[in-house]
Amino acid sequence: MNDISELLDTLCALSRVSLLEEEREQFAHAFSRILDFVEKVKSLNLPSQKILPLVSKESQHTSEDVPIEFQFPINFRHDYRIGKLFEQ
Amino acid sequence: MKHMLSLTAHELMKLYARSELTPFELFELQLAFARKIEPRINSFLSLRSVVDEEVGKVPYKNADNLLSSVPVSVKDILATKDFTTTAGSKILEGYLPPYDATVVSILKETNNFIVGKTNLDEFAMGSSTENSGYYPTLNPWDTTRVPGGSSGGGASSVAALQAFVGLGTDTGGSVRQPASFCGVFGFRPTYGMLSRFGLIAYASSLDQVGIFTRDVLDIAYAMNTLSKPDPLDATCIATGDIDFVCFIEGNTNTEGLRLGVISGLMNEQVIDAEVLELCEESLRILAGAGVEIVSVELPFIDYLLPCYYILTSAEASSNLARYDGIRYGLGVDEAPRRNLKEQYYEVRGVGFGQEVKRRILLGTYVLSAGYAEKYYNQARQLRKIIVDSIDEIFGEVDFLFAPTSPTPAFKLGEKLDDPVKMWASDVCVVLANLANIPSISVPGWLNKEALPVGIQFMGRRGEDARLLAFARAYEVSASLRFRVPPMVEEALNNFEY
Repeated sequence: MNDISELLDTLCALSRVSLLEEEREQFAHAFSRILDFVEKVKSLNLPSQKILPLVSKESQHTSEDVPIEFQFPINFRHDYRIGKLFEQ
Repeated sequence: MKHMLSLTAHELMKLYARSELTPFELFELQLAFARKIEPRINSFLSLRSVVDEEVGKVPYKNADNLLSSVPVSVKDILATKDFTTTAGSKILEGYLPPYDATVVSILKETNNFIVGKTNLDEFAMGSSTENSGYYPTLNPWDTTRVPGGSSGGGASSVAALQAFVGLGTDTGGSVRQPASFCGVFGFRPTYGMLSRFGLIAYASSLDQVGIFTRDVLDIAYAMNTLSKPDPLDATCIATGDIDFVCFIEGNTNTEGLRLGVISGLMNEQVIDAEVLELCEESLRILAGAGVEIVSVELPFIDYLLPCYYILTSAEASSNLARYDGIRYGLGVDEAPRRNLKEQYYEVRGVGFGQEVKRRILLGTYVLSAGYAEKYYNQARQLRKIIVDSIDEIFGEVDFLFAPTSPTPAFKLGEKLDDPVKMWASDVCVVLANLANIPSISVPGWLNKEALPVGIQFMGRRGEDARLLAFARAYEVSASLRFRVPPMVEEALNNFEY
């Protein structure tokens, strides 16, 4: 149960969802049943087809995009990046 | 003699055409009965209290094979600007959209009367309507049982004479399974045949508006009305140039058609013995009408449900990320918060029910680094195999056949504690969604406990009219008539208006 509990904590953090204390135990039991259930698909082992994302960490534009170069840098008054917003 | 509230929509429109009844008279009668029976079944999340004269006084327009001046119920996941739209979730409590879904706009333009917004499993995730964030709907055939889901309120409203036609949505059988449990017809068109604009997204690659009626002809009238091109939905493939009513009336011959029975779904280990018997009876009738019955093996049958739940949960975890209490969703005002992140957790923790949280977490899991390749990508590839195999099978047969549900309606609470047990009740219906083909649940028979049991026909992608013509031919061969549940019949007999 510890493993599933840790997994749930990680998934809750990633999904920005909290579990109510009273639902936690029942939730963990149901969720481990679900993981067993979807395991079947993992065992299929279909030949891997690499799906390329449209944009990636390295390239933020697709081959058809024409990059626009701004003549002047844009200076925002605030830092709107998500990480900064969380810290505020 | 049949009470006018138990007629089909096309029978009702004939009364209007002969000036035996005005829409206003009918709407008032409809609303009074819907409100009378509502406390016993809870079909609706919001139910109109009066007939607006502006709507009611519009005279019946004898339009070309369209639904007109018909009372319709609309699932509370379709946006309506004059009713709150909650998707059955506390997170959207009180939300009033600024626009109507395209299908709702069309209903209004054709002078149909929207009775109210029907109950559902939260965000259409469920098979019993017990996951509604508000209250469960009860089955009008036996109020100790579920009406099915997720569009349980839509099915029960049509069965319990609260509306002549119901709009639901069918992402994984959510129209056909409740139709089977409540003894009405439930149609899931080919993906894109009806606009999805204004449908609150659950799993966008499978979501589809569906229709509840009391016979096949009414589905044809509803399709004529609703299946129109929509520039607001890029996935809409409707052309609006098929007259479904004319098509099914002109194609009644089933002689020589081939029906493939999905053998893996006619198996006593999966399907209730009595349901199987009733399916076999239906096949005997079809064989008597000249239909050639052949058996079809699907090698991937055991993978359908896991594949479906991986794909839909992945899409749901993304679609539901927007409910953060800022752009959309519940405002949790009382508790002090330290930061934005805390607000997200709190709003989503309180606003979403258990089943929705389970699917969001599963979606996050199957999409996360290291697992996406093993789960999500495998499921996507499997879906492609399913689509290709079904296309190949339709080279050999005209239609496919299976039960709609492994069992008749189950008891309230029977499967609520075990999500996997609940998911298993979708085993017969998810194929049509994964393969993106049209499918219809036809109510055939009552079992020994007097509960309805449905059968299911599936057709080729885009050949919705042909599928409806086949279902109509079966309906006529089997002499099917809409049956009113005894509890509703009794209420109707004691109804003074």
